[in-house]
Amino acid sequence: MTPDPPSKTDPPSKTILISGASGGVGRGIAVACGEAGWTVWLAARRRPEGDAVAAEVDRAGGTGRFVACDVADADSVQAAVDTVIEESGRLDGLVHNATSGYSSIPRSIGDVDLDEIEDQVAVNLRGLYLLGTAAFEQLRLAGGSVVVLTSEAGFEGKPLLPAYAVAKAAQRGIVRVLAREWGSSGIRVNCVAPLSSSPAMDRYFEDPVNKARVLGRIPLGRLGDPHADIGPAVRFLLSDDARFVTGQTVMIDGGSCPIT
Amino acid sequence: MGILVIGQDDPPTRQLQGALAADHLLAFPALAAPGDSWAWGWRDDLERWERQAAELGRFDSVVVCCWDAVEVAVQFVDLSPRAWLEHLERRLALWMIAAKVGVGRCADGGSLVMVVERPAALDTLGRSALVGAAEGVLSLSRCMAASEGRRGVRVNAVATELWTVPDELLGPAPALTSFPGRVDAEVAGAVRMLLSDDAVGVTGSVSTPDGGRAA
Repeated sequence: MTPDPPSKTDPPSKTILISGASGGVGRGIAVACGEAGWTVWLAARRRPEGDAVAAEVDRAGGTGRFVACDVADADSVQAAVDTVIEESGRLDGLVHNATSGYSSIPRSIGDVDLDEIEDQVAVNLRGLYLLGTAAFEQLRLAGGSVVVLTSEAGFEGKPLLPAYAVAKAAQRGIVRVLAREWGSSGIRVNCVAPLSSSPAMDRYFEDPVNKARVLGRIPLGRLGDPHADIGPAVRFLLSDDARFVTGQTVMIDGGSCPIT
Repeated sequence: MGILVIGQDDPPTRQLQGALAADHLLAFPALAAPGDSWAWGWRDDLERWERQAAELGRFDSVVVCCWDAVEVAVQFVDLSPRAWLEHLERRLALWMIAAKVGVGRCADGGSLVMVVERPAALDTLGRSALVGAAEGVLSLSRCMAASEGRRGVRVNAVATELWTVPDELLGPAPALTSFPGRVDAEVAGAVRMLLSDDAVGVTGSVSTPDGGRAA
């Protein structure tokens, strides 16, 4: 049977939950979704920054709402999802963007310890498990979409970011399985691998050698902008325009890491 | 010198050790069972094992066996927190520390191979934790290839499909009827090749001795 043709525009009532949305790439995604007129729930630990991004979403034409959430804490995640459902009545999209504070701290494999491993695993992977299981039923009811922010580190060997690379590659593996498992429930699951300016990248670029090395390998010669470059790609994957896209990783990196 | 195998002290790992004629098996530690909370109560066990393993000598070749022989597939939404801890968080932590130990025990100019169960895409239903952990291991091998090359150490991976073969295969049959193969034949052969001087220019690669299932 041929499915219905795609609608010209998405329903304005789309409701999205974004983890780690109080700054950086998460902020850019939130504002881009606001521009579509969507309701954007900013799940983060820091309320002042979350409220500020919510106000930006409002100014962009959407409805921004902050909800306190520690993605590594099961009760906190469930409470955040419950709040979204109680107040918005639905959940159409989930973006897992939160990442570990260790992500920009270079360490060789010989220096990696269990503190770093646990934090990377808890935020990147347990966060995906907790958010995914808590949101599944609502996403199923809405025919929803999940987007996970991974990294080119999940493709390439990063000698000084092994724990981060492990977590990001693991996310991609889980997303591919989820796309298969959740397809029959009408839920799409994809990854985006951005190479973007962010507070973590700003710190990394304080060393001019790092900056030259990163920019030198990007064909487009610059980092992505969270709002102008990364946000629209995530918004597309959340939208009905991407209704036949699942299990993919979209590289938004200026050509830095082409998938071969 | 010689070959060091790091892994679970179980029949498949012993079988691989035998097929490689490896001198030494460094068995993973017995970790305390996950509790009812998300706390990693088994950290002390792992840190103690890492300290003890650091006292081993150096080996020309090191094989880190990251096998988690879970025979039952469970969908992501039905995975209990305990199963998630056991088959993803604990496995990744254990295998990362084992890899760290393996790199430390590998002599300059040597070779290290990570072996992990990673089913072909068509065979991944109910395997989210296992596949997540496996992709993490494959990524780690690429990271170590990049960092250890400066001292002439090659790092590669072998991705197996031994215990995760579904009862009914979707899609085309594997190219080779020998699928899924055996530890002491197909898997040992791939590991042996990557450890050998014939692979002198190979690092950061993944070999998939699965009879063409993932092709």
